Amino acid sequence: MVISTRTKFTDQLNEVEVLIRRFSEKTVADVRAAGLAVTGDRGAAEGVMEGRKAEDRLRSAIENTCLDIMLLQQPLIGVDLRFVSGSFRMVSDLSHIDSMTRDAVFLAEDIPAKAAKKLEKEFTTLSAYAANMVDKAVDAFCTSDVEKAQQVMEADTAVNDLYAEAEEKLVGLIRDGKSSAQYLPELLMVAKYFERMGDLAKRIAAWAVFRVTGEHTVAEKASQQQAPAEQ
Amino acid sequence: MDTDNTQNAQRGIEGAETAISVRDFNLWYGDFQALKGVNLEIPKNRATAFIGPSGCGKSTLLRTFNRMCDFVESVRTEGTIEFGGQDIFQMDSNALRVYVGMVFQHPNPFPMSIRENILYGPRRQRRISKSEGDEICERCLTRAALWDEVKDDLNKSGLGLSGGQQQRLCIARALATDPDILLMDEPTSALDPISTSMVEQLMSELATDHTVVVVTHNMQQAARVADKTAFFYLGELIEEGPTRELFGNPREQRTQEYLSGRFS
Repeated sequence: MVISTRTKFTDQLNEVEVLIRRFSEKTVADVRAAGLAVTGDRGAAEGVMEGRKAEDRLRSAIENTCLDIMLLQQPLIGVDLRFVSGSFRMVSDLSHIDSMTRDAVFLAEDIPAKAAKKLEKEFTTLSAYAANMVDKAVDAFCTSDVEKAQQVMEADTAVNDLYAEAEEKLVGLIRDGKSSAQYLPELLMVAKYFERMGDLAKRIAAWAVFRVTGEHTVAEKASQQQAPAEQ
Repeated sequence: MDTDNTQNAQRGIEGAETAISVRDFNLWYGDFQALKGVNLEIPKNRATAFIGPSGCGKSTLLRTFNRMCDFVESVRTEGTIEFGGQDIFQMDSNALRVYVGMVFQHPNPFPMSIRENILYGPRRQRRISKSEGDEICERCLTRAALWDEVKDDLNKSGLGLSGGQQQRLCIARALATDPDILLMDEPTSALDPISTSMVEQLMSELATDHTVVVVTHNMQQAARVADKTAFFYLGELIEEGPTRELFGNPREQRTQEYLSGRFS
């Protein structure tokens, strides 16, 4: 018989993964629902807006478990350390995405359905892309799958292109002068939210790489870009 | 959506019954006062760790719980220590030790077979038949996670086991009298990391239906194993509470300094 040791520690690591997957499911569902809500689905909008408490509870549960592990389960080294520290950081990105779904829905509430329909196809595609990226990025983190994480990072280009297309379409609408320009800036902002969700999914994918290699490419790139500006 | 908070590794101690109650307890070795006005509740069926620098009184208090201080001629005590509502100093010390088992820093199997080590305590209480002896051996060695390693060698000497196995044999021996309380005085300080992990795992498992009190110099061990932790310094109980609180948010400056290794 092999004696299992540090079973409390192992249970807590498993608990963090279960909670992260639960948070991911909620966030992915909210991103998809936001895609529907911004084009006039009231039920989807209500669902997204009611998700705040669940987000807070999940985030707090993950952070508290990570803190407990760091405080009480030493030695915490190597892959385990990167899993716990990565989870602690990554949960902020997930939370940020979930919060953006509410911001997008809140903004879209004042946009008449007729105006929103102008970008319906773009919103549907953008939200589907962003949701898939989040789903895949978290899965890559939980399964330590670097290849899958890299696929997510590459997919961000497609989301950026979709946003650029939406922007171009809106600029065209303004130039035409046929439709009222009153709500067009809001529509562009909603599209921007989805594009930002893609960026954050890319950051989560980078945490998956960090879990395996110890390097967070997105964060390091950002700090390198920031450094000359600070000097 | 179900978003219940995760279970903490440490179990709560609020609401747990009290196994040992220490009230205004003082202890002197001759003129030297080793414990000063200690008040402490040890929760039942939980693991409690005593931490503090050498000479702070933690081992003295632990050893007092089964009246080992009786063996020191110059010892004098004041105050009470209650177990099951009775003052331990009013109890017969041999009767007390049936309920309070002890495991020491260095594994100390008796120079006899593994089986005889296990049955030593029960045989001092009553006659043990062969079949009952077999049952006690298997139960206690299984509980101490040693059965599979020694089941074919029960008649071999306990001294032939490795250090980690010897310590688990001592735990099994302590369990053989079916104690309510298990006292452990630095039980892993002489063991390698793998054996230490095994003994820690045992402590956690035993604490589900035994009261475990462990003295340790390893603060990380206290954090990993104990539901409650008490910090002693120069004979005083400085601070005690749930381990997560004591490590996460110590109230006393001295506790903060000791736990973070900045004690002068």
